[in-house]
Amino acid sequence: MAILETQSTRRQELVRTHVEAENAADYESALATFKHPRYEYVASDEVYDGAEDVMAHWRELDRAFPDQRIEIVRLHTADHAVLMEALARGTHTGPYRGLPPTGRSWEQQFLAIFVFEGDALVCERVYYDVATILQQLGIAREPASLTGRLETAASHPLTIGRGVVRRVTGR
Amino acid sequence: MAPGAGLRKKREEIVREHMESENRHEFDATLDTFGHPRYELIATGEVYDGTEEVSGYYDDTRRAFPDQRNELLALHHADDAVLVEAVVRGTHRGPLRSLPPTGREFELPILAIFVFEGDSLICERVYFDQLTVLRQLGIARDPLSLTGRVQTLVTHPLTIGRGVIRQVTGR
Repeated sequence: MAILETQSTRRQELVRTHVEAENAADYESALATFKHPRYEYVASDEVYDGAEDVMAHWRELDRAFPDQRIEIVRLHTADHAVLMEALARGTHTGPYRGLPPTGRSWEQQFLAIFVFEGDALVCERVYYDVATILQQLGIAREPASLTGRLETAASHPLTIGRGVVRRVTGR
Repeated sequence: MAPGAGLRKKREEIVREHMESENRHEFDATLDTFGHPRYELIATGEVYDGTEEVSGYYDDTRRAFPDQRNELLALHHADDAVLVEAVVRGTHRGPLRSLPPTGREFELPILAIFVFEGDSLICERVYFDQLTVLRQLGIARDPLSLTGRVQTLVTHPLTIGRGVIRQVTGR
């Protein structure tokens, strides 16, 4: 069943409020947009569930990329979700887990699914590409590039060696 | 304006036939599901536009991953698109660009946006994580894992060295 235009509008407004609060580093307000705070990162299989986990996650990102900003590209409204295509940008000026600050900027387009129960936001599920960010921070290379190919062969000699043998022998 | 039940049904049939014909490896049928064939791969920035380019893209993926198949997990109807969460699986048995076949399997969650004009499919835009595939093929490591951190330090000493100095001096 198609949802009512008014509910669709209310949900889109909530998503915009959520994004603006994150951009302003106003995490209390961002948290308040959730009925149940929860993040799911598909690429890394990470889940942050509940106010404490989600707040710690934001603080960690804020420390590593204090200028991080999200710009909405498109919003798609579905029956149980608002799906957002957006650009995220940031500069790596603080430590991130074991990685010291590289001082580099990154930018990438990602997709977030804001899952709703009625008017209530209960989860944000994020599809993004880790490799795009690592390449821009200067700690990974595009494996198809020349330097990437040299690095891959040097750091994964067995995998690449076996692959070359397999290609030559056709097995 | 939200699509009515008839239009949703038509679009869903197109999307399901698109994905199922890929699993049957009937790529001519897959091509026929498009009003205008076009792929946009967000992670890599690749765009394949028109019959020739899209056919070439199918040929390349079939050569690298002859058993590639998808499994639909969730489907979201929006105004101008159907958004699909899916898992793609395959075995790396042929050359992928310059990368010789590793013989390894991958399993990758993706989000595909099937963009429609009315009942005509005009683009498939795909969000996915390259690192998930590279890691499973054995040619990349998570830079935050221990082996990944050692490798990152060895292969990117300047970036990491500058980062450590920045962290210590606070600049």
